[in-house]
Amino acid sequence: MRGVMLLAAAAIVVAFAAAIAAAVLLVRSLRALRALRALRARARELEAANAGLERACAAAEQASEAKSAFLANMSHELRTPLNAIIGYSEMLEEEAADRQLPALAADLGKIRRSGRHLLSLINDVLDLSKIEAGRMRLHLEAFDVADMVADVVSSVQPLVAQRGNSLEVGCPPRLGAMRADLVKVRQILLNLTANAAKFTDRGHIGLAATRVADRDREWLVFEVRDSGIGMTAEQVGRLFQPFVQADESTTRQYGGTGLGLAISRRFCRMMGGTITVESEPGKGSCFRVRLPAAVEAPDDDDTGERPTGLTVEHAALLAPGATTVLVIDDDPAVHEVMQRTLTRGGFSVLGAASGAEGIATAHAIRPAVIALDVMMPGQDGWQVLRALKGDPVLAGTPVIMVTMLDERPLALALGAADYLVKPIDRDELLRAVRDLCHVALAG
Amino acid sequence: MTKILLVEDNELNRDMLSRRLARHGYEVVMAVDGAQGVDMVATEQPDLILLDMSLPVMDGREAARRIRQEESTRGIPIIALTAHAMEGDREAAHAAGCDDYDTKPVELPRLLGKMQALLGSRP
Repeated sequence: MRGVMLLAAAAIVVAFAAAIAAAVLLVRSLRALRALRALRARARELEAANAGLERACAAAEQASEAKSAFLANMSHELRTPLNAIIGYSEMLEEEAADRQLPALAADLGKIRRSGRHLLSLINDVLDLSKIEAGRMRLHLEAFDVADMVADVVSSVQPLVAQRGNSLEVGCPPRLGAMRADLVKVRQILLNLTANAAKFTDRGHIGLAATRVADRDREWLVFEVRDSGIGMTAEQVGRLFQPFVQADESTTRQYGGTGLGLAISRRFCRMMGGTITVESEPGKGSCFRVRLPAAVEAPDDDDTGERPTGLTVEHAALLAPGATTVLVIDDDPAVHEVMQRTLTRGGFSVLGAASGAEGIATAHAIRPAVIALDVMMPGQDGWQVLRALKGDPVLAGTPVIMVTMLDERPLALALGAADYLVKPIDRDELLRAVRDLCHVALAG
Repeated sequence: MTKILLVEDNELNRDMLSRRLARHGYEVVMAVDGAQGVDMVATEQPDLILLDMSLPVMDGREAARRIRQEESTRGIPIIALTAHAMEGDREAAHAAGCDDYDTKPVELPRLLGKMQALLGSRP
């Protein structure tokens, strides 16, 4: 009897266990089923979201195209009546001069000049909108550089004379040909020389062209120099942004759209070149345009900046034991200046064109000092500085921030060792690097 | 007197440019579209043609091509006029057989210079 009861109890226990196991299994499979359902639903949601995104993308592209087409048509429609305003005022001005009516002629001249100004605004807005929409194309052709410069000079001469300025052209013989977008190169130089003429009174304007070989490539360097009002470092920092002139009073006094330099810089970049400026208030400015002698047709998928300076592969070429400075800057012109200055000071210089490249190079070569630009596309200098200071290997490497604006407190707060303002003063650069190297060696 | 054929569809531009050219001693005849322009080149035998590129009925490029195809009008110099220095316009005008190119709004001294260069080179 006891045996039977035991058996029955055992059977009940087994049955319970089986029931519990079954229940657990059921709950689990139910959960799995629910999870599977949820996954399926999520997949469907994602698909729907994807389709929605694709639709939104297509719509945005369409809208952007429509905007560009609208701007192109609009600017054509605006130009037609403007043609009449400019043409008739010009005609009446001639007529008034013939009839000895100087007061009338002067007023008509004001209408004509305003009309021309409005026209240049429309042209600039159209150019900029085309660039932004990615619809500005390069038309590459080979042309004689000296001829092009002569053409620019003859166009800008009246403007130069207007304020009693003298124009000196430095164009060595046998400058040869270049392959680029002629219209755009001319427009860049016209912009720069017209600006120089506008901001200089009874002074000197210089336009010079030279051919240089650098990094296995030939370049043409155009320099537009003036003895005009110049700019502060802060003004220079804002210079290439659209619709911005050095400051608002400049616009009132000198007119202009504030688009010329933004357009010029974009044209330079499209052709794989750069535009840089050095300026001092009251002393004048010097704009330097650097373009490849043979501009390459752009790849459709790559409009990014070309890498600059030396790369890690060159590290092996460095003199052993030499103190190395790493320059991180997207502007090849900065690399050039720093390399020249620091090499003369006995340092080895390595370059990186972006933050990511700079951090990788720093890991590879462990430089004594890093000079870091603030304004870079993508990851900016502040982000790079944070990454460097957060990196256990590189946190101890002194960093000099190089920037257009005076943001010293921010730089020091983020862990920068020193701070330089562009345009770079060569002595100051050498002093800063030397100071930091001594500290690094002593420590 | 040197005869200029001005082919331009916009009435104000036509009026303005014709009067200004007349002031500088040119005889000006006018056409309002490409087809009329081609006809008038044959009948008027002008010394030079100022040809707008965007014209109704027949555009400026086609008109230039036809003028170049015709034996009796082949040698007449053509200056193309366009509203804006659109990329490709200059090449297109040259490809269609135009001798020179200028943008509107016309800067008269510049246009007169181009006209004189072409008229002077004629035998």
